[in-house]
Amino acid sequence: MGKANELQDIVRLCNQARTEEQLFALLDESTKRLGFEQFALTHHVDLTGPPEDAIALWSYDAGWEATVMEQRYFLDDPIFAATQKSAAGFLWSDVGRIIDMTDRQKEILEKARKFGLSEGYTVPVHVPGEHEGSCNFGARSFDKLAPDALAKAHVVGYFAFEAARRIVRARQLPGVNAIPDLTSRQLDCLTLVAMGKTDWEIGRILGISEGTAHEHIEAARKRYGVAKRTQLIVRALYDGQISFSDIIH
Amino acid sequence: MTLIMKSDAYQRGNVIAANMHRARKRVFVDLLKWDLCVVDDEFEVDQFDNAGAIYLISAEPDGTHRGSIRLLPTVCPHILGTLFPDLCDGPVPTGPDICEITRGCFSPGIGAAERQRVRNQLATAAVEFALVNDIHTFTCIACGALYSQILALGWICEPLGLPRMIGGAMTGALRIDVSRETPRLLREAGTYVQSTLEMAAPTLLAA
Repeated sequence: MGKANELQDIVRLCNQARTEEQLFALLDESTKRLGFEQFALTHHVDLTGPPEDAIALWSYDAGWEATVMEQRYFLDDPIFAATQKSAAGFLWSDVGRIIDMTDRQKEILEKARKFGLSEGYTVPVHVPGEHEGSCNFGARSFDKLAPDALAKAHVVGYFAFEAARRIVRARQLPGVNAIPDLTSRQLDCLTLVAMGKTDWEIGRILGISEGTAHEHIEAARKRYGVAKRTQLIVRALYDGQISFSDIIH
Repeated sequence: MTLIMKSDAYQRGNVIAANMHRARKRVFVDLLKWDLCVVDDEFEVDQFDNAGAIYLISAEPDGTHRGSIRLLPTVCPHILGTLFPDLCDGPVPTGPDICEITRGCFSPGIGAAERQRVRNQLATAAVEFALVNDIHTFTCIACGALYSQILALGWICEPLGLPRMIGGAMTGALRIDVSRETPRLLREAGTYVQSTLEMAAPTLLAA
């Protein structure tokens, strides 16, 4: 397989990834194909309570991940600290040249070795308006690195990060932006509520019982997940489900 | 506002065009230390700033430069084809419907939030320019953080080859596809900016 084909394959698979599991599997395979053993595609955030839009896909040894969480190593992780200072990719063995490491940071690097993270390469991902991030590739040694592994790591890191952004966006959209589907009967009732009519009046106008009118309005309120009728009307107006011209005569 | 200009705007003394060349000198020569040709100690102008070049410039109403990009037709000499063909594993993409985006530049003074807004504005303008002018593909060279930022705009990109170390930064060539779908992709990525794209007024161009 030619170099161009291999890159295009990775990018095509990144573009097709729809779930974190698919992206994880793809990263895992690419990591091994490049001659690394473990990866972490991650935003540099509080990993014990990450923001909803944060990306964190790790294949690091479970023991190391637990240690990182318990000790809260992500707060002063030397790799994360070096990422902030570097636009270019870097070898973990060069971290001491990018930042002045504290004793705790040296200890973190030393402990990571026990979990198979002796050598590594980090691709920083700096995008304005987004958490600081990086794609990290680690191994016990670099003896088995494929030719051009570091250059390829950049392409994998950048495109996988973009795939992760897309997956996170898709996950966030439904709750935030989707406009609930309301039935035409519910919309009739909402319009009348907005005009200040009571359930009894709405029932009379639409030729249904007071109880049924009440049920239509409650069902619409639940669809929107709001507590009060006024909130429901504001949201429905805002979303264009009902219009001012319907309610102002 | 984002203006579309031809290269003769600068030669004809247009203030917005002159400010762009001035900002390019500060960014690429003074800050990034690129070895480029400087005219009158003030303006960065290279051999590709010729009759074929098109500029998309984000400027204040008084002409203050905020950011700009240069589009080069790939049927003429351009940077990827002339200087860095090695960044493509295959042939350099060229054709009447392919333009190269070069010299992406923000005024050094603007803050991070404004930078982001101008970046989105220029990307949106480039897409709109492409749709109106039957351009289906952009090519570009990106180094370091810029590579990821171009992908994060949300349009469809593909690497043209393996990145290489150039001047201390991992540098790669990208292909960006533009179609009727692209504005939607930008919107989904939150990078679409309602357009203010306009041709520079003839009166402004005439010095």
